[in-house]
Amino acid sequence: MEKVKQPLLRTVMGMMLSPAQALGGALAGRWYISAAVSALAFGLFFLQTGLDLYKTGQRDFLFALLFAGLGLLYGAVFIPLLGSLFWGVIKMAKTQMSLTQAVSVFCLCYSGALIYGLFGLIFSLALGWKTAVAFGVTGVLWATGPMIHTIRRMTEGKTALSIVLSTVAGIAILVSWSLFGRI
Amino acid sequence: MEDYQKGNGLRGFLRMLCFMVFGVLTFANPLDKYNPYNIGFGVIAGLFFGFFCRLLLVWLLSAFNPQVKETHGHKAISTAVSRGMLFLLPFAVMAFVSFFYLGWYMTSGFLSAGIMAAAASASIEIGRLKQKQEIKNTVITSLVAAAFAALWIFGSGFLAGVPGLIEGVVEFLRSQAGNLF
Repeated sequence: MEKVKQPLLRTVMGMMLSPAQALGGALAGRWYISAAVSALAFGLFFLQTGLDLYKTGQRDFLFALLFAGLGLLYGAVFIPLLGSLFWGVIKMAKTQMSLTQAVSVFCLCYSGALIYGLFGLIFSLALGWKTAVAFGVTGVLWATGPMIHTIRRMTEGKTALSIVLSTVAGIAILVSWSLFGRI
Repeated sequence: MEDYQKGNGLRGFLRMLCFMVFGVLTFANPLDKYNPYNIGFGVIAGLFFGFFCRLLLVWLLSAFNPQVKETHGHKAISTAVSRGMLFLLPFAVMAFVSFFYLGWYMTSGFLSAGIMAAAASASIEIGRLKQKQEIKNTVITSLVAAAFAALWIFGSGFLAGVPGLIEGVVEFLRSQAGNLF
């Protein structure tokens, strides 16, 4: 994959709106910035979950903050790990991408979740809405499309594999988030 | 072009399966998940919705891309839309897992995100045929997807009582038939 440095904001918006085109210049060498995108996305998602639980009186405010921290960690560690795991699988399909490039684009798939997270937090704080599902889960779901395109491109057109892997990623994230929410 | 159309049958089957799953989960009664009336109505509603959604996408993309039809034939656009609609699969599976394992009854969210992803992918498929991506196709497919997502959300709310109504009528007819014999 060609390494073309693009502004972060353009890449984030590009991955959300037109992943196929954005992928070409997707911060390929700067995996840590991509990891920061997924860390922030999940930090905001988990913060909204904590705030929802706080609003319904099930948890205190400290829990909401701690849960946001857990989300940051989740996005910074678990998502890149999942990306590495998928890179191992698609390596068998003879991808040309390096591990850092793969992790980088995998994390950037959650660009949409970051945008949804920002809007969700605004609605949660300004209007008092419960936003974890409406904005948080929707953001995570939105990542599925870019992820299919990403994996398909990495495997030079293997649609079935990309659909299976992105389904696994989506389910893993929804189930793990649900389990964390029950802690 | 034959290679491009290869697998259309399987793609069609999977597409219908996805819409059936969305229909069943949308109209399912959380307190009686296996109610045959809800399941039956959900299957029909999902299939109808999927049929018209695909029809409109094919029609609009054909109208705005006449050169694709000329170069690759009539079925090319239909195949491109079918290929794009494969993107519904992860969303249908996630909706299924969410409904039965996590106990979340928010299928519309999965359908909306899925249909947007599928429509965007259909426009990318058209771009592959033309060997250039065009913003007009992205706009057309996104508008159709947004309209159908909204239609599903409002329509499913409006039709939510229909399975119960059908069940009531059938039970009434059954009881009447029981009185006759």
